[in-house]
Amino acid sequence: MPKEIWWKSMITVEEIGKSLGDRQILNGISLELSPDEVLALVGPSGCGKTTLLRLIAGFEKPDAGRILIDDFEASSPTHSIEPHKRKLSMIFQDLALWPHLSAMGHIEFVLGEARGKQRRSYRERRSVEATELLDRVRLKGRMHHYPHQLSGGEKQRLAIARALSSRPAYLLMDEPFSSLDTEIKQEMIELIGEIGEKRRMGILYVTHNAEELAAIADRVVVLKAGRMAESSCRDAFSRTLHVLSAPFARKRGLP
Amino acid sequence: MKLPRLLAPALFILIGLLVLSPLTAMIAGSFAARSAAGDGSTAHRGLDLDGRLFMPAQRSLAIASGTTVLSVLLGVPSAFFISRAHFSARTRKLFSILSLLPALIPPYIHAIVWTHVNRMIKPLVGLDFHNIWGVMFILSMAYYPFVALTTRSGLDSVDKNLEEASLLCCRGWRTIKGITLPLALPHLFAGAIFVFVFSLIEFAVPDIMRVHVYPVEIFIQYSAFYDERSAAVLSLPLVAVSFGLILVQKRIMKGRSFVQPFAGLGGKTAAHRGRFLSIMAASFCFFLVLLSVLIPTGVLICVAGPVSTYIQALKSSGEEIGYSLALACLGSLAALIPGFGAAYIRERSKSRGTALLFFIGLLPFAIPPVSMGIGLIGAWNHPFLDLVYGSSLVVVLGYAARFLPFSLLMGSAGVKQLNPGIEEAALLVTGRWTHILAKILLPLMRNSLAAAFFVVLILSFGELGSTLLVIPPGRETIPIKIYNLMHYGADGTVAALCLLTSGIILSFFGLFLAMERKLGKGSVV
Repeated sequence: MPKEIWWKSMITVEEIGKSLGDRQILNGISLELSPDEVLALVGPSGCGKTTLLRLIAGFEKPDAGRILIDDFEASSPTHSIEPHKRKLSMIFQDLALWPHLSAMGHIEFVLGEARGKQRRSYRERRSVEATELLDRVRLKGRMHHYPHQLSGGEKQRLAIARALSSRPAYLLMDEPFSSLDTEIKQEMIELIGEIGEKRRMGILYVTHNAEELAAIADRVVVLKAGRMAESSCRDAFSRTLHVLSAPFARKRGLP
Repeated sequence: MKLPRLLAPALFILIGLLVLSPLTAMIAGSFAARSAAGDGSTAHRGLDLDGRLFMPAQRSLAIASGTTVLSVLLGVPSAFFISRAHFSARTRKLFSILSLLPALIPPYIHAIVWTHVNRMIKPLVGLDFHNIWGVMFILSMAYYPFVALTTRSGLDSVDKNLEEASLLCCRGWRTIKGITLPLALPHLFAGAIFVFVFSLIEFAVPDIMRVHVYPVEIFIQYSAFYDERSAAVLSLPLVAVSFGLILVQKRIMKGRSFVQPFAGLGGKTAAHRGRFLSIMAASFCFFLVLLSVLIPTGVLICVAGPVSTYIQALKSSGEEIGYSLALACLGSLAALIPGFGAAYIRERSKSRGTALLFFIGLLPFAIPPVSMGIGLIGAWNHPFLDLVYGSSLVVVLGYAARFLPFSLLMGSAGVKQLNPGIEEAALLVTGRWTHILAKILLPLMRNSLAAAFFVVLILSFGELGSTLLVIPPGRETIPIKIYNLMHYGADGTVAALCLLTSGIILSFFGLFLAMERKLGKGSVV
């Protein structure tokens, strides 16, 4: 019997709560993310979207509830497994590219170092793999360039390549395209969509932008003041946003 | 913003007067004819120093290198633990403050403490501090906070997202090795260079520990052999090496601020957590505080003895304490005005002229205290300048000149934090530059100004090397009194005065912390 059937392959967030000082950032949030879907998380600034991503990534511990990754408890108020053991990757809002590493260096750092006798052959394999990945995001000609030598779109592609290089099962994206112009944004959305589909990767996507929602998401979760206001499927996008978060939708120019 | 036309020339004159006049006098002295005791030969040839020059130079380099290595070994883990271990905000602040204390205590007090320790433990374990290893250790105790402070500033300025991006794929140790430390490396190097330069030009500690190093040789040439020319000639290579290193340091830092003491407090980075790390961090930080603050204080208290010693010390040295305080305050103010002025025009007009002014202002970092004293004598010891040289003004000028770089760097860090748009917005309302200075710039820079004032005040209060040469007859500052009493063997009084001096310095520091709390965080040192 194949191993996969023994556990449910998804991220499950159960009644998560988080406060900072006296302020309740998240309150009783529950959601699920399957390996092959793109879930968009929307809501006004300060509603707790980024905090939720950080909790799922394991950078912070929840005050209540728990997070399961593939049926294993990853986070709870008393227990938290390390971020690198969660089979997920993240594209940060400011990209968080390492200024002292070249494009190639970024990927090689993620792919890691082998020990002992296999070190040399592993380095060769690692180099081949990094080159292939950079080629895929059209950065092959820029692989020895540092982040400050890359254009906005190239930096974005490098951030995507880095996130994918660890072969994550889930990808968290925190408004990654907010500072891009329409053309590059479109290109990135297509790239993410293509890679997500090919790899059967679950994507949790935080955004403010209605166009991005329509282009990427299979499902939408609306957060409001740390609570889940609504969750709906792709077809119910417009209605959900219009009815349940009308002020937010109007602000963003949605129908 | 358009600056007043006379500001740059006025600053050139002021900084030239403070820094270039003693330096020029020192260089001119090295070319001058020998004094009556000499043979009348000119220029640098025929310096009668035979083999005695080589060993002190070698020792100075060895001490500077060893002190730097030891300071890095102590300072970097301390910085990492304070910045990254999972401490509560209060514990982190406590360790931050405690880790600064050894740097506030003048190095000669550290030396006095360890001579007493040496006396106590030598018969028991045979360990002797009166050698270059002892000097290295003592200087490391005094200077490791410089490495810790700059490294912590580097660590605190690392964007937490950069570390978290790595933690998603790697273990904590790989993140530290591959991301955190390389990003903080420029700050670490900057701190290490500070320590190397300070140890290279240090006079008091090797002198107290009876280790014959290069700056001691300069002092001997001047005060024992009355050979001003040899002393000046000997100073030049030290100035050149030190200034070369300061330039390297500026290049490494690429305009970053050296230190932001309380930035990032309150658990900004949630990266490297774990109970084991926290326990290890707390133990290491406590061990350092024990070695560099608690043991020295305990030793001084034991040596000083009963309360009557303190009362006696206060009675006999009250005048010197007051005199030192007055001079240090004046010196601090005298360093603040040109330092902040030059920093401001450097940051706002990136011309070659302002860059030159900035570099001139940094020069005193590289001038050994003894050489600064010799330069001050050469510059101001003229019959028509008796008003300066014959009074305490020369000491104030010495303080201002020696510690001008601190004021300059803090001013530069303060101005960097100011958005130029703030001044431009004010310019739309008023064209009066003084008005903008008084109502906009100074209030916004008050934290940096306060920090610079207190740092220069503390350093001036403990200054010994140059004051020893230029103090007017019949006057004594408290470091000179301690230095003289130490040679008469008055251990109890010396220990009491060391404690009183340290207490006064710590109260300055406390006052600064209280002011900072009142003014709001975010000052840049």
